[in-house]
Amino acid sequence: MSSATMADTQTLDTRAELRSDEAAWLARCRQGDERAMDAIVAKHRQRIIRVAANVLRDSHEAEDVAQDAFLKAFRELHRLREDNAFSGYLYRICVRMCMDRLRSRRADTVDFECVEHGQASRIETKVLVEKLLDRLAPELRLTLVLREMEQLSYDEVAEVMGVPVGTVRSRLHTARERFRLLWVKALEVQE
Amino acid sequence: MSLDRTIYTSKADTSPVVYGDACMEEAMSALREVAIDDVEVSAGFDASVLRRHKLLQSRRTIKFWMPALVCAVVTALAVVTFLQLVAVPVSSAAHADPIEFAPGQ
Repeated sequence: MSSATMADTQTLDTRAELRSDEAAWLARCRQGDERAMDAIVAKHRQRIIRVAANVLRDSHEAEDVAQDAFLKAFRELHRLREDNAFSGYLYRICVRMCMDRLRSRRADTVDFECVEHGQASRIETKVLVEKLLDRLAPELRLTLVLREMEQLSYDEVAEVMGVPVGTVRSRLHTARERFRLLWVKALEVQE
Repeated sequence: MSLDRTIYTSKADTSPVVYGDACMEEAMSALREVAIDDVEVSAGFDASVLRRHKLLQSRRTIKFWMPALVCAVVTALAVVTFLQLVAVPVSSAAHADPIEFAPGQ
C-alpha cells in the first residue's frame, strides 16, 4: 500500500472515529448529560456563529442566534434520525433562525452617502456591502450569503433553506442582479 | 479593494454587457472580501448555552407537572372542606334543630 493511500485510510479512520465519538456524545446529550452538551457546543460553535455573523452582520446577534440554535437542537434531538447528520441539522436550524431575524428586522431606508469617505478602504467596502445587503429581501440575502460567503454548493443551499435547487438558482440570479445594481448606484452616488 | 474604482472611467469605452459583467464581478468580489471567516467567541458562550438549557428544562418540568399540581391542590382543598362539614359536632347540629325554634311552642 502506498504512503498516500495509507494516509487517506488514516484520515478516513479518524473521521469515522470522530463521527462515532459524536454519536456517543449525542446519545449522552439525550440523557441530559451536560458534559456531552458542552463538548458538542465546543465542537460546533465556531461554524454556527460564523454563518450567523455572515448572514446577520452583527456579532452579538449572531451569538444570540447561535445559542438559540443549540438550545433548539438539544430540545429536538429526539427528532434526529441519524447522529451523523447533527452538524447539518444544527446548521439548518441556525440558518432558519437567521432568516426569522432578518424578516423581523425593520426595513430601513439606506443613505449611501453616509458611508464616510477617507476610511480605510476595507472598512468602507464592508460598511457599503452591509448596507446593500440590508436592502435585499431576506430570502435573496440569505441565498447570496450562503453561496458567496459561505461557499455552499447549490444543492447545499437548497437543503439548508428547504427549497428546490431551481428556486435557489432563480433567487441567486435575482440577488446577484439586485446587488450589482445597488452596488453601481452606490458608487455613482459617491462619485 | 476600494470604492474609488476604475469601472466608471471605462464605462464609455466598453460595451454594456462587458461593463455589466465587470460590475457584477466587482460586486461579488467585494461581497466575498467582507465574508467573516473567523469569529471570536465570547468567553461565556458555552456556559450561557448550558445555563439557558437548564432553565428551559426547569420551565418545561414545571409546565408539565403544573396541571397535576393544581388538580392535587384543588382535590386536597375539597377533601378538607368535606371532612370539616362531616365532622361538625353533634351538639351544634342539635342546637340548630328547627323544631326547637318552631313558632307557637
